[in-house]
Amino acid sequence: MNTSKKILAVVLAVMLIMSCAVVGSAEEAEATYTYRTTLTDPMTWSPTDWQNSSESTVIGYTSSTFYSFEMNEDADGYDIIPTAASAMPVDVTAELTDEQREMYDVPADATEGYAWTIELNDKHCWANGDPINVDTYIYSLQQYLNPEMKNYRASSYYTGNSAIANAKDYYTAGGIDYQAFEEGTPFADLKVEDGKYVSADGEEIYLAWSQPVEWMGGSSWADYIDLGYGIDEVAEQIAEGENADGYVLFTEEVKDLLFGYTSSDEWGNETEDDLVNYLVKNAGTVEGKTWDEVGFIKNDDYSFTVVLDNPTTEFYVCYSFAITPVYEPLYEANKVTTGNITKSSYGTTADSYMSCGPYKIDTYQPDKQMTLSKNENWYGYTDEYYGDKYQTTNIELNFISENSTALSLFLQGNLDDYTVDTEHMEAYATSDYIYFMPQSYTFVFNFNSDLEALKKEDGDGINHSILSLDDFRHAISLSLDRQAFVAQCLAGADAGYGLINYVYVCDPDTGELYRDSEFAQQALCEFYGVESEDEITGYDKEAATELFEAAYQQALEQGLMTETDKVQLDFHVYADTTNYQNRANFLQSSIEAATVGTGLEGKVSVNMMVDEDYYGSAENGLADVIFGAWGGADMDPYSIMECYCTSDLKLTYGFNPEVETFTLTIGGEEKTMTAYEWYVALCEGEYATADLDVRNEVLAKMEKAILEQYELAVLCYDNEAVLYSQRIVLGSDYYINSLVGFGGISRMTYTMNDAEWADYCAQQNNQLTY
Amino acid sequence: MGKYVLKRLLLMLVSGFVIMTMLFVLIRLLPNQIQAVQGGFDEAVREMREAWGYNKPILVQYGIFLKNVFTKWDWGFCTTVGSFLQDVTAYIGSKLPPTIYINVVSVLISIPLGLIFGIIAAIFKNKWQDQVINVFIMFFISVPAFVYAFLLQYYVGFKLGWFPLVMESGTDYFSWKMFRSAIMPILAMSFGVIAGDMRLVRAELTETLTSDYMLLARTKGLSNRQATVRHALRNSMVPLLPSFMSDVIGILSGSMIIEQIFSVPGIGKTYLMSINLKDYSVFMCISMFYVAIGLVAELLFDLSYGLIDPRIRMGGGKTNEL
Repeated sequence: MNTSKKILAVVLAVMLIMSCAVVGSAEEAEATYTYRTTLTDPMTWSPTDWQNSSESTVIGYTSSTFYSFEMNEDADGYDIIPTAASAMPVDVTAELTDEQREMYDVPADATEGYAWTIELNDKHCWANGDPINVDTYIYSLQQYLNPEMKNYRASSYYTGNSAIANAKDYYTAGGIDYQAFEEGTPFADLKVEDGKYVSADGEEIYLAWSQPVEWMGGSSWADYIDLGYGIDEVAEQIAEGENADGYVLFTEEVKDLLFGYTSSDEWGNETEDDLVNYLVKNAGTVEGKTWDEVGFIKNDDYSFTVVLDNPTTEFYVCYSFAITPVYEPLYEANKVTTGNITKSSYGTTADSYMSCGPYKIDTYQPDKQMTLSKNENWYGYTDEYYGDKYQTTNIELNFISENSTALSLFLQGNLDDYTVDTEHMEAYATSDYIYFMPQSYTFVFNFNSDLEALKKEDGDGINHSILSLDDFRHAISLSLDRQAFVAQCLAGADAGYGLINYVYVCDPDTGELYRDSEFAQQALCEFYGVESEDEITGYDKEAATELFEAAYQQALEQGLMTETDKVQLDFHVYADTTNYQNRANFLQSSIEAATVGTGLEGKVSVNMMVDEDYYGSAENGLADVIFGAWGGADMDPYSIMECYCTSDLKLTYGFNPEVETFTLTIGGEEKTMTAYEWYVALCEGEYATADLDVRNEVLAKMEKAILEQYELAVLCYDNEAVLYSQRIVLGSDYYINSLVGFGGISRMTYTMNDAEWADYCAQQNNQLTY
Repeated sequence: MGKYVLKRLLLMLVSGFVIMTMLFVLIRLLPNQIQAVQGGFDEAVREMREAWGYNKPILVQYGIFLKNVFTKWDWGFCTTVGSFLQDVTAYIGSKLPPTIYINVVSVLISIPLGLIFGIIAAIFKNKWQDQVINVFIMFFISVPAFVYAFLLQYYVGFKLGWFPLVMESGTDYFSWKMFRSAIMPILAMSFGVIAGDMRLVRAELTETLTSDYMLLARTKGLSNRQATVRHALRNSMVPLLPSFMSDVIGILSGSMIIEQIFSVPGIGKTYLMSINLKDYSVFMCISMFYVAIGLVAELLFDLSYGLIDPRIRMGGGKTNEL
């Protein structure tokens, strides 16, 4: 009997323990961890058409790239993890045959960097279980580069680091090959046939209408009309003939309309020969390439080789070369053809999209919310590396545009993060839950330095021309207390002094920052005239005062202004907001303080003007000052120079980077090239594959040369300040780098599940303190 | 009456067509140049615009637009607003329910309350009831709706925690959860309308109550309540109707700011965005929807005058001289 009782007791105990375990595991299984955040409503999350960061965020959650950058175990760097790939890329350039080298235009002596073989992960599949193999990527790439679709992301595969051999020729096949006339071609060389102008060789002639014209400083006629130039009467008639490429067939009627304006006083009394500068000829059809000639070679179902236009390293293949696949049945089913263009509305609703990443889209309500849950078919959840990561079971993306609403929801516990704006920075700057994320953007005041453009604005005792003087702009730069600026105008940002900030990594292998390199530090010290970088403030009121006085005297001597003139700086801004007003006020007070005791005392005013196209105005010399920023590609500090060395992108007016030169001493050798040529040499030419030190030296000296133009005054480096909810634990307490941030969502963990968090918030009366 | 209705219907169609033509031409006259961007997508946009017929002469475009609308009920597709290439009627159809929901409830609350308190204020003119109502009117007419929207959200939603701060997601508009989440935007939209209606009702009724015929009505033996409701209120309704009409038209126009504050996925913000981002199809479709609502509402209210005041004869060949 005792034995029976003992057995019964043991059985009961075992059953009790098992039931507890079952209940426990059931509770565990039911526990959800929902990351609730805010986002701008995405218009499309189609991989072939996405444009902004909110759209890429959705794609990021719902797809896997060949390689992922994950925070390393020491939480001080990154590991590259093959995800859609199964192994690191292999450089097979040396194995290319002569025939392939010729087809893909790979130098005969190149042995590395051009051709890479990637093995695919055969466990990686779509959310519905359908396989993803090389054919999936071939189909996807054909859609990206489909000439009939003109997809936004097509350029990702024919320009930049990931440009695939012959991809551009495949994409542009069949189009018209527009070619400019040789410089100095007289107008008399053109002939008229049936009312249309043709070249001496009988080629059709077109007027570049919406296309940039070098003669116009890289702007187009369409830009000028948009900016209010006075040819509206004829513009409409000319624009009626504009084709899809942005050109207008040059007929006698068009010639009369255009020449009537360009030969007038308003435009500058140009001659008939000058008209040729606006014209191009139809040199035939772009021959193009077939798909078989594109540098994407299928080795087998799970292996392919890609041949790139430019040599690159293993790191950049992992970092830059990514093809987010599209699901063929849905992509095709959502195609619509209008005229010559076919577009797919793939990725615009939950039903028109297929996930292949850690999460899948459950619901999408425009202007309201998108909800995602774990994609149980994602290989990572059963993978050795990712198996214990991704505690987040659901993601809720709320499209809330009102910042105060987002803050209230966050304080109630209904959001897990909140991006702190300037207005609330003081209240939360010292919170234990705030994280500062450095951004790649450098904010500057951009100036118009072109005398002719500024003179046009002068009149009635109002002077703008003095801004063309280097001393005046230099004085403005010295009058700006960057520390005060960030405190008053852009809380959370760091005072900045160089064009390239502390986010940019020049050596991905070591994580070395460009700004920490010897050449970069030396360049800034020389520019600001100090011994060490710690001494840089960029602020020297006394020196600014002297320069303002010197500029004033120069202006009087050169007849740019009179003693009674007032100086007005037209500060173009996107909108009349408090933020912009603060910036205008800061600029005004800085100049006022530094002009005391000079001839300009009380004479300089900053005139804030709302201008939605203020970037365009700055590029075309129609604004005196704008507040602007460039950033992006933070693993490649060299390519950002494009933004300062090409007329199309630079936000200042006056210095012509395609014409004006820099003389720099590189490795002891003095060289003179235009700013644009220096950029090309650094990124595509002789310095593109040079040693890191040489590239840094070139970059640092270019940076200093640009700063010395005083066309811009660097103010600060951007940071984003984010409060995370009390239950969130980020992978790292410190920002590691732009590749992994604080560890990302894969490393984000929670101290409470959703139910526990709701209870906790209720106990706090839904008013949490941060 | 039948003739009059037919005439009004024809006039309504003509007015609608003229407005549609003006809107079509004006939105396309706005500068809409394509800025050069990295990667050459500007060329793609240009090609798409060409393919979609946006580069054709405006009259040709209008002809295509009319043909598509009247033969296929095809109003085009989203280009810069909403989900790329989505059918515009489907897109706008998905945005209307939340706007209609909060606005219908708002008007259902506002007009009766405006009437009731307006009547009370008129009956108790210059007494404390009138003074209290006047303070309410002064406050809610002077202060913009977004101010008390923020106050409601902060004090009632956040501090007191009585209602959700934002409208519930989803489309289950008849659930309690959805209604509860819509109470604050409904209140924020209602206060101004209630105050406006109260002021008008009070002014009209005050004047009517002092008329000679009201004295006659009371001397006939009608009670104050009977005289007010049967005679005074009915006569006051004629000038009040247009204001109620504008309330009803406002039902669908929504409020961009209220929608933004309470995260209502409605049409207010979409309409402004369609102008800023030059989404021609979205702009035309929403505009014509409002125009249609306005014209139909105006017709209905015009016709209802005859029911309220029999002295007004619709379509009579002779004037109604007294």
